[in-house]
Amino acid sequence: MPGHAHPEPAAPAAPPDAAPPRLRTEDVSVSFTAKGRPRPVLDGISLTVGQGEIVGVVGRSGTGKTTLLNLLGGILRPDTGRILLDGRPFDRPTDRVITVFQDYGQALLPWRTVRRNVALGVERRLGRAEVAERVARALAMTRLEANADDLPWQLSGGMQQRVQIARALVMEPEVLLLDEPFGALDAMTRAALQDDLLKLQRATGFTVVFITHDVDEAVYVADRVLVLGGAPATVVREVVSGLPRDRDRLDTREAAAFVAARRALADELWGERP
Amino acid sequence: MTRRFDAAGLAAPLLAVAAWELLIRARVLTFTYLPAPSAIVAAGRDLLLHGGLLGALLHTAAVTLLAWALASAAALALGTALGLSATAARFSMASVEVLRTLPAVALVPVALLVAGPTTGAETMVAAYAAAWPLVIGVAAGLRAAPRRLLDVARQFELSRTRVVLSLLLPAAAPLVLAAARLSLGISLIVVVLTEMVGTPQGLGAGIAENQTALRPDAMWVYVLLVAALGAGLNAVLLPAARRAVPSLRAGRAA
Ligand SMILES: Nc1ncnc2c1ncn2[C@@H]1O[C@H](COP(=O)(O)OP(=O)(O)OP(=O)(O)O)[C@@H](O)[C@H]1O
Ligand SMILES: [Mg+2]
Repeated sequence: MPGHAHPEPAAPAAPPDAAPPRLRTEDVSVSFTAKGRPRPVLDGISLTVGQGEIVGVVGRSGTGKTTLLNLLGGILRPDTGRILLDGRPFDRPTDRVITVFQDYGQALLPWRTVRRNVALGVERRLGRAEVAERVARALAMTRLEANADDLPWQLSGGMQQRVQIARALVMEPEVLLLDEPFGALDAMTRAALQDDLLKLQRATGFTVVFITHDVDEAVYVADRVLVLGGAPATVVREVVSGLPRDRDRLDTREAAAFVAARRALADELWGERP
Repeated sequence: MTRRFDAAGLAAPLLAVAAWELLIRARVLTFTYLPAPSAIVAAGRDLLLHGGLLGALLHTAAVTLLAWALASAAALALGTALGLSATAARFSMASVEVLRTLPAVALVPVALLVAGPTTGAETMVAAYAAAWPLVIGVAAGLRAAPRRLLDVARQFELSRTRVVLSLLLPAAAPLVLAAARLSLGISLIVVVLTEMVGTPQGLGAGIAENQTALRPDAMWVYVLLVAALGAGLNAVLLPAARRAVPSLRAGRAA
């Protein structure tokens, strides 16, 4: 078991739980059937994400990060336990919690223009004028106005992922869930998108839960990082980044809080096991 | 993917025709019933003016398209059911495999007996034969659509109908189009065959009658017209499909 006692990083130790809870899981467990036998994946996970908080989730491949995110998005139902949004249980997708999928190549509709991809979730629910207005706003927020009439495959990977983010923003969600959103992108694009996400969060105040394999990304973007581990998985560690919200990429990398948080995560993920 | 005839592509067949003409005029080729291209052209002009060539062409074209349209409608429904419902697939795939592999030409005499030597008989067999590749194509296309699209559909709470019409069928369109071309070709084959063996109308009848009448030049006119009809239908329908279905223009399979 990886959960041996680490000292908390030299940072404000308390998670920013001053904010009222937005999303909670209460003792949720999930198992899949593999080769006819049940295979428990998540075991009694209880966690709380505050309003406007940015939470990162890391863990080895196959631990159940995506499964957890699907639970939070209402895309998957837990076998036991429940998920609460603003204190109310929910177990199906809602406009208020929107997922950005990892594989933009499969999640966007290649035959639709950027504008029509972004409109997917609202086109049948709102009047034309309002759809156009919301889409325009989402495109502006993601700096995609100039590409509104392009098809997704004519764009770079980073732009395609921004299209997916715009498609989420158009719903005006309270929670954005992102599954390894920048995993497939080069370092420069990835850095730019991390800053984009932080800026968007500051502008709109939505809550963010994102999965990543990149420890630096986890610490730089998140207020708090959860480490998922074990089979079935539980939250084995929680690391508060202790960075100011208004963070700057270059200063941050040398900040003591950043270095300590990164070290704590690296120990947890790759450190020697008893 | 635009396809155009270019000069190089036309040069080879033109040279072959010229060689054919020369070899016959030089009496190198001396089959009794192999006419020179010039003789075929002359027969064609004759048939066009006095022999109802245009009527035969229109008949075959109309029946081919009608059979294909009926087949498409039925196949779209059946293929969608098979592609979307594992249960439907489990209960009917075995029957589909049997029905599909039965050569439709074997049904031509059956249809002629049942419906008589009529346009109805032609349409029936051709539609039957043309439906199968499309049934398989639609079902396979739907099953090959990225699973992620279903997550997207669930996320945005799209209705079942919208998932099929706006996500899955567009994603399946390239496979469906490939199957539709196959099915159009089959429709033409079966229509011509039925006309040859049973119904006294259309290009197929023209081929068969002129064979019996020992008129190879006229027979060749009909054969070439069948080929031209097949190529023409493809040439008209492909761009039309691309214009009508955006996902076929998307540059890559969905
Ligand atoms: N639909 C499913 N049916 C059966 N098993 C599944 C299903 N989805 C996930 N699993 C299994 O559950 C486990 C957790 O999967 P999950 O996708 O949540 O892992 P992950 O942490 O996101 O991995 P990665 O980092 O590689 O994306 C894996 O062992 C996977 O094989
Ligand atoms: Mg995953």
